[in-house]
Amino acid sequence: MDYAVALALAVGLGVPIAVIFASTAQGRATVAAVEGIARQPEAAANIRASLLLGLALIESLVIYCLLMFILLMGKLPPILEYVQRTGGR
Amino acid sequence: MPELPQAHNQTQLRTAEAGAAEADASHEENILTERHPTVLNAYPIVLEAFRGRFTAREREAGFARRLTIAAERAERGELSPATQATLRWVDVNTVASWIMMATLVVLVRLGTRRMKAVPGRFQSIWEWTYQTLEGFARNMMGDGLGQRFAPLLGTFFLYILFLNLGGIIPGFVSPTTALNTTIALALCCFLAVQYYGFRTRGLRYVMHFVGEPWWLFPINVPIHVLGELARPLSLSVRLFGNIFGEDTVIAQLVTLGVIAIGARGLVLPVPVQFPMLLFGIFGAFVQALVFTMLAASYLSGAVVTHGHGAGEH
Repeated sequence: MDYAVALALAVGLGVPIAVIFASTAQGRATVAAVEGIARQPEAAANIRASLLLGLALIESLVIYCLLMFILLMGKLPPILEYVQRTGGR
Repeated sequence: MPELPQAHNQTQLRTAEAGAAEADASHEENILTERHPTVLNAYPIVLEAFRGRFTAREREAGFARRLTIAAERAERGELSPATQATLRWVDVNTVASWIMMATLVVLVRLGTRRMKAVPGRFQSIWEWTYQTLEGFARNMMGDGLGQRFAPLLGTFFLYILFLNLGGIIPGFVSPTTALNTTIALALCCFLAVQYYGFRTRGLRYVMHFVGEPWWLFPINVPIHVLGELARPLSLSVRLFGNIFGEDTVIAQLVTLGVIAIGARGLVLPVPVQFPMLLFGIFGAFVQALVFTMLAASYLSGAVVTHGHGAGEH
């Protein structure tokens, strides 16, 4: 596998893989928060604040992956030059 | 956006490659480096008109002529060295930050001049804002600490909120789309935590980094120090990534929403970015809130004294 091919795969698959796990985690956090609110509606404001903080922290991990995506995307070779170099395959 | 030329034979491919190679040599245009027109692009042009290198004939032709020449130079990307040196320090994002700061100061001044006991509309908006922010600080840090740190946390929230919302305004720029601004904000938070930690607890603040069994300190101290250093990193990258991502999506949707109609190429801009703008407003609030919440939790962790916990509600 060529280096450029591996780089393109990493650029394409990095963020989606992070999103899969982050969305699972955020779903579980939301489920717990909603059940807590259903059990004790008067604590809704506190639970909502904790939920928002938790969701933002999980999401920030995906943002780190997005940062890697931004860094790596600058290093991808231009398509035309790459196709030329490998003989048009 | 760069278009891929169609090559039907080897000759075409070679000439196209030559053209593309010299275009890609210096600067690669992709989704992340595209510059979109904003009102603040006037700033480098005006700066060039003032500080650029002009011939004597161009100078005596008047300021308007110099502005035109400066605009052409900015389009080609060849600004004078003096302008480039100034732009390295005072960037478009810095000017946008200043404009937002001035807006905040003006709004607060308008709300707090000639204060009455029974407040008018503008003053009561600011009273409500302060009450909400102080209530939030008290919630996060306990009553005493909350009242003490409410101005700092309130400033973080309002300033970051206004900066983030700058990108939603058509033609304006959000300074938090640059890592410079967010790192500066995160450093402010980090330095504030250290300063208040040392001021409240003196040198015993360093005992923070030594965990519970004091003889485990060779393991605890590096881990805690690293954790402490990771906080401004995560604060800055979180804020930057969220706002930059939202603004890039909005910009791309704006480019996408232009429909060319008919053979004469009439362009009809369709505002397909509108739902993303609404989400951008929500995201601006959430990111400002998360920054402030984390700053509050770091501050309360640093300032807590023995005997009292970090404040419970």
